[in-house]
Amino acid sequence: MRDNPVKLKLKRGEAVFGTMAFEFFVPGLPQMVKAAGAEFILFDMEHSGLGFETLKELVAACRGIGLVPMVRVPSAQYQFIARALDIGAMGIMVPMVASAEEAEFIVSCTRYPPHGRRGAAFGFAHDDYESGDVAEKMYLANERVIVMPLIETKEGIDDIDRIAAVPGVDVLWLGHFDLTNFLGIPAQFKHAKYAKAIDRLCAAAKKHGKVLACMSGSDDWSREYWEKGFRLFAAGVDGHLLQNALRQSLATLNGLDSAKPKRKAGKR
Amino acid sequence: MRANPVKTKLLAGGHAFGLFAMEFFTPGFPQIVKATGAEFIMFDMEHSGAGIDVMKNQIALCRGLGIVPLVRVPQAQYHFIARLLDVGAMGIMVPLVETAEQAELVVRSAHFPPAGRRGAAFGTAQDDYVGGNVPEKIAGAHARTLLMLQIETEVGLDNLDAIAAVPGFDSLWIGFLDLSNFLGVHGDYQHPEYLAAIDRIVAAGRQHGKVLGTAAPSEEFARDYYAKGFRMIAYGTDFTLLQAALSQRLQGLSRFADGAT
Repeated sequence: MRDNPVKLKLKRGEAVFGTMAFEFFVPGLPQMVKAAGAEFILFDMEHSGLGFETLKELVAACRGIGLVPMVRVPSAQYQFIARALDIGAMGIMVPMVASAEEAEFIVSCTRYPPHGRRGAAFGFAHDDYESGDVAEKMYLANERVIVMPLIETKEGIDDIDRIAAVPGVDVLWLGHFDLTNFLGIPAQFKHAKYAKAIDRLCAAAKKHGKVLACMSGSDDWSREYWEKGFRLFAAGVDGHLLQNALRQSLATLNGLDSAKPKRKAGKR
Repeated sequence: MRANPVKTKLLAGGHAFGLFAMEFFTPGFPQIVKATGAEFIMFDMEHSGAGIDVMKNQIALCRGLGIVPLVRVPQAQYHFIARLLDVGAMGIMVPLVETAEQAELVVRSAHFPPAGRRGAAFGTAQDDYVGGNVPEKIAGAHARTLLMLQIETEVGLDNLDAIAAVPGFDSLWIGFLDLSNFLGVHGDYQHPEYLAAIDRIVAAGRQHGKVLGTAAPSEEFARDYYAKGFRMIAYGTDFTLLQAALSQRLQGLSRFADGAT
């Protein structure tokens, strides 16, 4: 059973940077983001239409290249969480976690008995089709998984101190946009209500020794959250990263054209 | 038969900007690219491992978006050219063109008789599965198909004038990396021999009325080649664009993380 370098770094209090994928589920994706410097890739199943067969191929493509595959499952259900782990995901993000009980359930889906209620199958994708001592594998599997509830609803914030206290929860991942939406202040990241929710989230993480995480949409955003204590960041989303770079390129090309003012004004 | 706005613009002396695609053959890709303002996607079959099924899928996704699907086929062969046009490619790029005979083969493979020797099937993907008048369709196909030949070897350079004089194709593309490789100056784009080759291609394009095209790996490169007269530019490749944006973002994170710890 391979270990999970991202989890080891987080345990040592180190920062970890990766990326998120919603669209470019192709054979080369893991290696190209690894080559760009990402330490993990978080595959989205909540909003992308990604299914398990494609996910299994992508996770297999992470094998041997030192890139940690993590998955955002669509919802807090055993069948999503256990299956994602069985095909080799090393971290599980669950959207809209609203209570400590839900967080406990999520953790139990990721752990073999007696620590949880995950059904076992070995010598398959998640342990690299290797044979070996089953007890040791179960120990290592329990150790390497990263559990990341998304805190993105009013309920999640209201119960944040209890959620953060749940053993086996490693990371509190801020869903910044949904949080504003569920607080009734869509995309108002300067709103006092939002700021107060973030303060509560940060305090709970600090108190219970949990890692704070979020998306990094820009350098300014990342700096702000770094200063709040966030240490796990997903730097952008595949499709948007491509669009940003392409927009910049096309602006350059169109600039070449307007440098030669030969276009006729008006008409059409 | 839908028209090809990229070909129309280029033949009118305008420019067209797009990108190369070698990896992201996914359902959202054409729209993701279209949303940025790109005018064409050059789908690569030469180096990407993509097959015609995947190309047909991507080309179908371009339908209705107003983005022009072009394909670089692996080699100057009839079955690549005709079949990719059949599935709806609005233009074909052919790599490593070295002789006028190859250029003629490309033209013959792309056009229906009497202009060429392409077998016909209509009411299929290429004409959006609609019926209609056959001579009109043939004229429409002829008008919209953009043929681009890559000059990227020393042999192609030797035969440049004969190649450029072949009627029925539209554009001379350089393959800057291969050209430097085949000239023995691997990757040295300032080498006098390489630059002289570029000048010859530009002159041949001007003389024979062929649109000049190139990929551009950087802003500086794009600026240089635009100034030389290149009007069809594929700026970047799907995954290199993603990598550039991602590594920039990750470097940003690392920089202030280093500063803060």
